[in-house]
Amino acid sequence: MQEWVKQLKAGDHTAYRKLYDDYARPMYNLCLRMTGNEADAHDVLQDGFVRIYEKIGQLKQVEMLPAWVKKVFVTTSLQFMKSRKSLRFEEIDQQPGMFNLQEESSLLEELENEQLIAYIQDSIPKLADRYRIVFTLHAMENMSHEEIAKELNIVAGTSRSQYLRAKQKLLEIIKKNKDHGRQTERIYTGITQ
Amino acid sequence: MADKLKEFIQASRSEFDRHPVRDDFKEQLFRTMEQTKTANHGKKQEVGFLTRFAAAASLLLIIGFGIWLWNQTFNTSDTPIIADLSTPPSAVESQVQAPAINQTRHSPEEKYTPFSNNNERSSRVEKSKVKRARLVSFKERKKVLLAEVENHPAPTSIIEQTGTSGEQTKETTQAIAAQLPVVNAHTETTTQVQSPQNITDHHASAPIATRDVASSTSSEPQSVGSFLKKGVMKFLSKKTKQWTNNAVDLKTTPSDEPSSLALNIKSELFEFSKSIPLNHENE
Repeated sequence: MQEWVKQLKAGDHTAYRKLYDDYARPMYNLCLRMTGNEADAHDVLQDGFVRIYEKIGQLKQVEMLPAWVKKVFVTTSLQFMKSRKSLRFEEIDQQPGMFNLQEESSLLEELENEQLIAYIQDSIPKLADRYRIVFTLHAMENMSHEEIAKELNIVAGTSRSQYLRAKQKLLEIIKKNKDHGRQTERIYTGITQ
Repeated sequence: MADKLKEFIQASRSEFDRHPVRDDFKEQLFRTMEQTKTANHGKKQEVGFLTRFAAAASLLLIIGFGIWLWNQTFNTSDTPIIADLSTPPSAVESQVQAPAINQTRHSPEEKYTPFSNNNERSSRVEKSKVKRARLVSFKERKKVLLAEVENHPAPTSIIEQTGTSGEQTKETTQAIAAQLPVVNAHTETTTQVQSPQNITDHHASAPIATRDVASSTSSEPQSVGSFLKKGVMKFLSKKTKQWTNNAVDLKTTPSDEPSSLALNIKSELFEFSKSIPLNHENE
């Protein structure tokens, strides 16, 4: 990796193509979850790679390259969202969100893994921006609430409450989709029968 | 509190990155990066030029400020002052009116005692301003002095006058001594006139430069430029002094009756000594 980073710092195009091959897909999906649509995700992905190209000299520890790349894309996505849309985290959201743990457990047990992944994938873009961003950063990118609060210029309590509300919304959407799927399945089954 | 949803997502994290990037995106990205590289190169060159220009401008400003500060330091420093002596007739018209000497001269204790309080400091500043004003006249005067010295070599002619009354001669001598413009108590050499005769020295009216001896003993830190300038001033005033009546040592022969007048002239260039007999019949 050391040699690779050295080549990246030297501006070697082969090294950048390798970087693209390794990181383009996961970073695109990150951008997609953050922005909520493909066109914006591609714009952010391009900005992120250009920024890496410009700032690679600032990378001090070679082994930190994956984390550094992810941070660049998170920062670029957040800047994009802040410039395009008004991200507002109301003070009232600092109060802990209500969440039904039983409902979560039953839903996770009820659905197959593949099904659940598909439902989650489909439901994330339907969340509001502030919920989607906090959910993506905490649940998907495994960032702590303190780190998220720092990135978003909010307090950690706001991040926690936003995450609980996001999860609640997500489960509601999944449940609705699941019920809708059953209804559709029944209708389909009835027609075919 | 266990977050089962998060645990599930983290356990199957790779499964969530399903969406592929657009096919033509890669080429588009590398084209953009190439353009960025070119733009950055041009920007770097521009920044480099601006940086060099700014550095040069800063350097000029610093040098200018340094010169200004140097001049300020010199002007406010304790500049040697030539005593305001009687001037030759030719210089009277051209010289600038200078204040009386006894208004600006200080005793050494007063002059070089460190500041004891702010009032004294402000007083010093005021005095320094007066000195600075005097320095302007001094510079003009210096030119006149040097020209005068060159035009009038040191040896003086002494015109003796009759009159042998001891009392009268003593009074005359004292009067001459009182009129002698050597007012600086720290002048290294003094003119000694011990003549029973009434001596008229053409160069007695010539400018006599005395130097401020105490200024050379100042313990204040001085810049190199200031030090050099002071040295030059010291040299000039010393030379001026040597070429004028400071170099003239007039002594009478100790006797009951005025018999002769000893004239000793010392200079770096020559030494002259002559005893003139006071024989009125010889006139």
